Amino acid sequence: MELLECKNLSKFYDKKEALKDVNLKVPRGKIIGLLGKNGSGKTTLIKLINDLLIPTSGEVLINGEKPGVESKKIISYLPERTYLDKDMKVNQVIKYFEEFYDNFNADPARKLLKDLDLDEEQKLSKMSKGMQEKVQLILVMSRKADLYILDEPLGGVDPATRDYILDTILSNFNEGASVIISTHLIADIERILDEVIFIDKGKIILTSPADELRNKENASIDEIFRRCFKC
Amino acid sequence: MLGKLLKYDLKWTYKGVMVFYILAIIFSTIGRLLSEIENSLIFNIIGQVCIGTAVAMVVNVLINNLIRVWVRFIRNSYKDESYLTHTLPVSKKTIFLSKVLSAIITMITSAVIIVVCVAICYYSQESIEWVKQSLEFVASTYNSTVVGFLLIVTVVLFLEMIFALFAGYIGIIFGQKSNNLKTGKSVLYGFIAYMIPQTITIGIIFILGLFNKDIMNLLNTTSIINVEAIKSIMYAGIVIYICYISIYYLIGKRQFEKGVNVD
Repeated sequence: MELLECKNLSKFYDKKEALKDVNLKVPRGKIIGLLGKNGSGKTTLIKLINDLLIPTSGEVLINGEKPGVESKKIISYLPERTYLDKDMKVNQVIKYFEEFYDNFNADPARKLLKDLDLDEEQKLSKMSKGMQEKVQLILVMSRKADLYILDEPLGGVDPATRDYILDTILSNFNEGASVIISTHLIADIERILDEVIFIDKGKIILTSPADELRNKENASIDEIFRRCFKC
Repeated sequence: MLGKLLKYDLKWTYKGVMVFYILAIIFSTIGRLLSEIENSLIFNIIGQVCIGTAVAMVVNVLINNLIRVWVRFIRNSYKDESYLTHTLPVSKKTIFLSKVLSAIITMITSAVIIVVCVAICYYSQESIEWVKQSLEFVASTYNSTVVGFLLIVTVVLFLEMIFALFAGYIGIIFGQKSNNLKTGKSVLYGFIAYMIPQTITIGIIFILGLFNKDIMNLLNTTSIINVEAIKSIMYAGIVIYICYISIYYLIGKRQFEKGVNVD
């Protein structure tokens, strides 16, 4: 059974087509790059997988079941926006995650916070957007999940911290788990990808193992992406 | 999980209304103390101003409480924070139930604070006597005991508040389903969800009037209000409100369970 499967998945906003007839299978133990231009449907697909949108047609199956309580136990999701209650302090958010997620481990989270010089006693509202995003990433990666879905994890982070974050992702994700990373900063994440999915205008236009694609096109994923999505 | 959600929902709502609770109690107490000082016009005036402010705070407590639970519902279920709420390993019906329970609990607390503030401002042997006599007079007019009368009035008012709360929730749930003008539509649908049942209620009372002469007289004559008719309407009101609230709860829960389209 596939970890994640999308069958003929479509999402319309009124008459506007955000995602059309997407068929996708995500196996276990892979790091997958979901790559596309802005407004290509990456976030819509991710939101559908996370039960944050109602599909217009088709279905999402996680471990063979529709999104629900069980799927949320095994998916660790980082949205592209800051989603924590800003009135809370970092240590209160850690407590919150401990209370709700059985697979959340507070010790590595505290260590990562220390490494990134983030103060546990600080209120989120007093932190910059970049700092809040780092806190969120740490919380998400401190869960022992089966599937990590990271929507633009590097978006608001300075280039100097990006490598640290990618290493954090690589060293913290559960063995046997899969990671879906949505981004348009391809050059930064290219080195960690096992597979790539190109999405454009709500349709999946390419799925391939990263190495196979590089060898076939004799170019980096970043170059192939630029060629593919040239304006 | 319900307990955990409820804890955070209550914390958030109380955090906002607590300021008004404290201010209402402080102004009530200062107003009362200053009013007690004899032969001092200045203190008495300041005391009356404080009591007036306390009354304003008391009104604010209820309105603020109601608005705050709606805001919590929108922020937590449809805005940025919804990305966390809907990815918690908790069913949607539990999330909805937690919002409803936290709203009811905080509204009961607000009602208690209002009673406490009124007692601080006006408690005295004479005022108690006056209230007692007034209640006995009204209760005897309604052919009821004081406790029975108070109970019915409290239940009707409480159900009216809960009904308004649910009308708001229904408005939000349907308004947020749209892809545009979500806030405007939430307000509009909430207003419709409040007004339609009220209109239906008048219709039901009219139908009851067809079988009950006293009720019909109340509706289409200007003769002295008939106590029996008022009592019948109050009893009918309790049953009708309970029906509306149950229906709205089931609709809200079902629609919420079907899924959300977060921003």
